[in-house]
Amino acid sequence: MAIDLNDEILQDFLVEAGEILEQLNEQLVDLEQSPDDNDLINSIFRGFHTIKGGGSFLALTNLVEICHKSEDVFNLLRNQELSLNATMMDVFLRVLDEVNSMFEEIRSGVDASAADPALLQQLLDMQNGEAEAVDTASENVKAGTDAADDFVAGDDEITDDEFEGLLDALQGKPAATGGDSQDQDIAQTKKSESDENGDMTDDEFEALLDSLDGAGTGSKPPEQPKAAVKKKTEIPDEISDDEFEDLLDDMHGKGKAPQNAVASDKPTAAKQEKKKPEPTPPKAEPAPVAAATKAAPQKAPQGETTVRVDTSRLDDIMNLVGELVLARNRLNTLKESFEDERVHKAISNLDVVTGDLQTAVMKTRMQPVKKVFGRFPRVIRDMARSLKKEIALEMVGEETDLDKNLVEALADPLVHLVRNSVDHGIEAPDVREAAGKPREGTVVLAAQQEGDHILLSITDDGAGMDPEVLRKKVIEKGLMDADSASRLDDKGCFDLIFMPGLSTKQEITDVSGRGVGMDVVKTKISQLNGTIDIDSELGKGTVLKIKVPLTLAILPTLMVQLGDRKFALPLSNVSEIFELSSKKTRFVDGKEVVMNRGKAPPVFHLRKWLLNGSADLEPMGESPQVIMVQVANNFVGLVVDHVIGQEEVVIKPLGALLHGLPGMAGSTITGDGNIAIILDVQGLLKHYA
Amino acid sequence: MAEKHATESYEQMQCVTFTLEDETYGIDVMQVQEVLREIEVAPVPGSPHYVTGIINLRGNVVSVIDARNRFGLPVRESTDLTRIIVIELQQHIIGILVDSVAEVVDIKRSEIETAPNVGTDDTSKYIDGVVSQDDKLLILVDLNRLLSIEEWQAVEGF
Repeated sequence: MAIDLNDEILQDFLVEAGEILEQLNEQLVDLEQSPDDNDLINSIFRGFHTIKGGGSFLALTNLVEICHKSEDVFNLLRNQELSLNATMMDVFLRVLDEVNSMFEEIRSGVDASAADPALLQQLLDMQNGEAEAVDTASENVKAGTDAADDFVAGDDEITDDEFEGLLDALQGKPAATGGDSQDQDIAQTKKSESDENGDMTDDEFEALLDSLDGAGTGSKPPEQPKAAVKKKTEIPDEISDDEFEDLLDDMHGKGKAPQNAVASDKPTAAKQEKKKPEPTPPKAEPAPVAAATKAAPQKAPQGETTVRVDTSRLDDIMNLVGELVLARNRLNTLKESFEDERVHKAISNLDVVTGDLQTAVMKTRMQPVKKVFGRFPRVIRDMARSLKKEIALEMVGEETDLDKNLVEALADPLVHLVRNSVDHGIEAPDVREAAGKPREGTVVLAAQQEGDHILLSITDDGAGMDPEVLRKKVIEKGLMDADSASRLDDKGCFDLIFMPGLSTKQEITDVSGRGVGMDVVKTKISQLNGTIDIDSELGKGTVLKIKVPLTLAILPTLMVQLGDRKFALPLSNVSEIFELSSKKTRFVDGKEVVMNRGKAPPVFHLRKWLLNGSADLEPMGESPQVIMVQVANNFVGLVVDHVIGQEEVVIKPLGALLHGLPGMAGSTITGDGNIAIILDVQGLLKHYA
Repeated sequence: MAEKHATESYEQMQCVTFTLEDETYGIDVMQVQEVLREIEVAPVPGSPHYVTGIINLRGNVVSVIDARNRFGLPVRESTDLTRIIVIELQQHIIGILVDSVAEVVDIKRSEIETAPNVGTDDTSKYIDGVVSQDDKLLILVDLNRLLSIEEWQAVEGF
């Protein structure tokens, strides 16, 4: 069946469900870390439920089927009729992959193909409690007998009310775990009966079980009665129910972000072990209540204050603002020729407003870096499993905003770097233990804003890099001669990993190690006008720092003049400007260098590179200036006729015929309406030097 | 009526004519977006030899090809008559630098003759056919062939 992609409802569904899917991805990984978190289970349940609802409206039967089955299983989970285990987690993640691929199919305009029947069967088995038989049979049996023991042992210690609740709860439990023949609905009614009996009783029963046999039942998800009751009572009115759920989702999502970060932290295991009987249920309770009370007043304004806007429209606005910035620049240059004070005032005013507008528009395109980070828990989890390593992921500063295009462009390089950290950085648990480190390795992903830049860092506490190994490797591969390799300092050695064709891992794994990655990452980052910096300490770990500008659309540049033409150098590369005097220059090994701050970086005359071929090779101007640029920790001097000044420019692509020209990043229209070429310093040096 | 119009438009075509040295060339008017007076073309360092540079077309950057270079003619200083014909070629906007732009002429397709196999290879490969008009020869240029296959690949490749 073909799908009408123009269907607005479908498009809306794809966008919304896509977001939910992303969330699910995170949540499922979180769930593995904290299987007791009933809020999380509820949230996942609602996620599947929402996708299912939308899907069934659009008659996407295959999608509906798999979501429906997952939802059923989560329903059992949240009602504590099942407990989570590793096999189930694997199945869930596979389900998510399946749903993701279905989405891809729907996006490309075909109906989602049927899910793997084996997977569906697994879900069904889980629902019938069979999956548990595979993995946690013993645990379950133990829990069952424990419960029975408790029942007997605790007999005379509890009040009648509590006893009744206990009975109810016990009744409900075997029905779900053992009963293949039992319909889920029956289980549910049973459950609601027990709910009616009083939430606290149930909780107390839990508490009782816990206190009597902490270890045995520790793995069981705690009850979250309020939300469950709410859901049951509100079922008749489906729409409001869904809305309410969405709202809850929102509230949870916001409220829980930090909590999750903490939960994925190391202490999880410890927390689980010394879990006190009481705290968990009450903790679970206030959240939905608070959400419900807060939801009412927030609901109305929320619907009116946000608008979903097509990104292409935002891009259009951005382009227009770019034009406005250019017009402003033009006026600024013309300003001098006006005598009238009022014109000056008007232009200055326009200047300020344009600046504000530019910032405002930029902000609308900002997205939290969480969009990129969100995928890492899953990446790390999957890798840790396949590589048999123990890894904890910490994420800091997820709420840092950056330009949407950047978020997208950074995703791949970051995934690559994180995979590298996990694969090459973190050692196997035994090795770590032998080295006196905790078995579990830690990868920290952090983002923070630094002025007009975003600093992203990936820190691992793994093996670190050995500069000697890198030195040897680079000589071995013939990428550098022994002499120059031995002159490199440690930092220089680390930078070697960005060279094409270098991989230090002896074996190539499917994860990384083909030696094509790091240089690609580096290129990608520098395309974004960013820099990447690596530092490592053998045995301690590695830090990768990526610095990228907040936005890609507007570039701060340094305008320079060569002959009668203007060129723009990205300001991020420029570190210093000084006048060239013959006293400072020397020739070393046939190359011109300039003495500056006790160092002698090479200098190049941009004139020779950029004006060659055209007629205007007139002698250098009166006072040529040297611009020191930093390229990958190396300083290079570029000689220009003179420096015009700093200007924020809008990057315009060079067009099809000239795309990919070495050393040229694009062009821009200057204040006087002429064209200036924006130089890509790195490419320039690579091509011409 | 509509049918008649259709046949007419098939039989008829309009050409924008331009000159290079002493010859007059024509290109299908449907491919022409606009004609610009000579504005400053900014050369781009390291660009392929056939690209003269880029121009600012109302905020958009457009690459300009020198027709003289394509037709194997010596490069000439621009004059008052020099024009840039902005064309849309396979979804790319490209400017073509020519000596001058003359007029728009109607020609009948039936009058188009295949090009005589003379002239340099440089020239003949771009030629679609010739039309004689008032004792003058109008050479029809196939813009799609203005760039060689390899050059198009370079364009499409990005």
